[in-house]
Amino acid sequence: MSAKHQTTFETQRGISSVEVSQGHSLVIVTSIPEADSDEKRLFALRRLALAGLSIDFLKLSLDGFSFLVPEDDGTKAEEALCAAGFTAKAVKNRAIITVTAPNIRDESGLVARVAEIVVRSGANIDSVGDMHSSVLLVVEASLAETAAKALETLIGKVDAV
Amino acid sequence: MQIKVLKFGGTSVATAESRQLAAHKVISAKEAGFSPVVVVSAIGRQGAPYATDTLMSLLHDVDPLVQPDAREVDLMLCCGEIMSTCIFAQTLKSMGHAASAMTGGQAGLVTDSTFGNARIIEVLPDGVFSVLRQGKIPVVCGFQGRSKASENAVYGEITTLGRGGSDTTASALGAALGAVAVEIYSDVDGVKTSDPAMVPFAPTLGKMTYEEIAEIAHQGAKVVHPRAAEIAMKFGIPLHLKCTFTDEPGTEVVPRANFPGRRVTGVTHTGKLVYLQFDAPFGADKCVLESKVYQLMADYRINLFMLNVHPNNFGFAVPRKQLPNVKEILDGLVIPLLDGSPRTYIVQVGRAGSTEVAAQERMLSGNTAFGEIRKCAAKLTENCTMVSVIAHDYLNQPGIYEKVMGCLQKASIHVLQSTDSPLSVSLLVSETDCERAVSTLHDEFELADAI
Repeated sequence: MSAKHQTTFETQRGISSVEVSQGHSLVIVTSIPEADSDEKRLFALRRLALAGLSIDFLKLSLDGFSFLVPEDDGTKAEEALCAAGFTAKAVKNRAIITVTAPNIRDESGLVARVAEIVVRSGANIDSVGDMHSSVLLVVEASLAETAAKALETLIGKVDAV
Repeated sequence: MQIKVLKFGGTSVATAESRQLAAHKVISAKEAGFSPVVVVSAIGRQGAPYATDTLMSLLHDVDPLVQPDAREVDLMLCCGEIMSTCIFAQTLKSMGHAASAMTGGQAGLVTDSTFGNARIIEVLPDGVFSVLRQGKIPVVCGFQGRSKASENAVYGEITTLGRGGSDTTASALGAALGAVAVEIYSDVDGVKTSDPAMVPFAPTLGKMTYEEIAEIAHQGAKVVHPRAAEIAMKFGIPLHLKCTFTDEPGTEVVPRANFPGRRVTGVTHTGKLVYLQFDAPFGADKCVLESKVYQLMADYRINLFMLNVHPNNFGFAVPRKQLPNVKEILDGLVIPLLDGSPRTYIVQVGRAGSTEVAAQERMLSGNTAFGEIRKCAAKLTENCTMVSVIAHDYLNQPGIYEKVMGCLQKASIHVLQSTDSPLSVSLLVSETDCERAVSTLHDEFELADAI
């Protein structure tokens, strides 16, 4: 009941790890008229569900939407959508960079700093998602390691912003 | 000695009556054979005489143009918890139970020296054990700690832990003391499947995992701070969320291995947001514009939500209260690209050009060194909010998006943007649609039957 109870506690603020997961395809759907975009998008999502495809990183755009699937499902998604009359293209070789940063929303500016570093490293960001302890970025596979290395320079920096 | 940490939020200690009810919870724990350790927040919520924001305004009101030092802000803010702790200890004494009020520093919470958002480095609980050995109930100030001694602060400085700080104090003390449980008391009986203000009959979840509670809090549910959940998870401390004013069992937070989970945990909403979508040219110029904008948002510590990137545009949402700062930073920003054939971009926030943008255009147009002057305009969509569906592995099921988007479309709710993670799907909708979106999704996933 004394000094042995001394304990280390919270995860240090800022970025604690950066990981790259390869093997994804980005599917981009375009040419949906804005007037009936909600209905058309829903129809497209139904076709994907019927094809048994699980999608991630759904992002809406003015004339369509994009999403991520496992690399092997890219062609299947493209075919399912094209068969339903959509203009769709599966772009292979996408990777997810997972940047672990506990309580990321309490660290004002950190998401922006992560995005800035990835773009500066030469990688175009295709998509971004976040959860309580991490931010996830989809980039071209060949540029993911370079971007991850750039982000790793922030690991352990208490004031990464 | 079986220690139980009981933490009471602002509304639980706001009045003499509520303090008596809270004290009864402490006494019941003691009578059940536990050694209770109490953590309290400042008295009352926003606007109350001793609430955190009221103390803060006392400093600002001295001269709104002079920003107080972060060190003094923390000293000031700590007064709220110190008062609350002394009053609660006195309440326990008046009910016949010896108690001793302690600051966070006296209770051994050692933090880094980041005023306003300090992190706990270690907890040295000898002081708390000493009070327990004397047969007294320790009543500890939440939300505060003391930094390590340094050259500039020989005895360390009083620090505050930031948002959700009292929850974090309770979890940290629970871990350091080897508590059998940490109980977080508030004016709601645990975690609901949704905001009861929007879904009046939203049921209380009996069990949740640490990850679920962290994510649901991250997405806007005012339950327990993710930092508290993180500490409890790290040290395997059972966490209970209960109501001071009822005897309901509340919500128990458990490791994932002990709970198979459910398809969907809840539907949350958060934030008054503004969505900015920048038109940017395809190619190398877009990268430069994008990285400059992100760099400035980071430098000025703007919180970005729902980042969205496309070949010819990029966008993100910012909290509405940060919009004036964002406009100040970006509107009229000049980004010269002087390689090859020179061209210069002027960032314009909003559909109509401001006087700042017009002034920059005038100044640059006569100077050939800047080349062609182009605009990078950001379309603003104001009055947005984010509605999220929190779930575990269920989000991997084919058709989840169709289900989410389909029910919202049926309710004529337009989704402006979406984002997702392994634990949640979030949708940006108009604030006027927020309540309907929450209740529609709650119905769609049959959360009224959740247990």
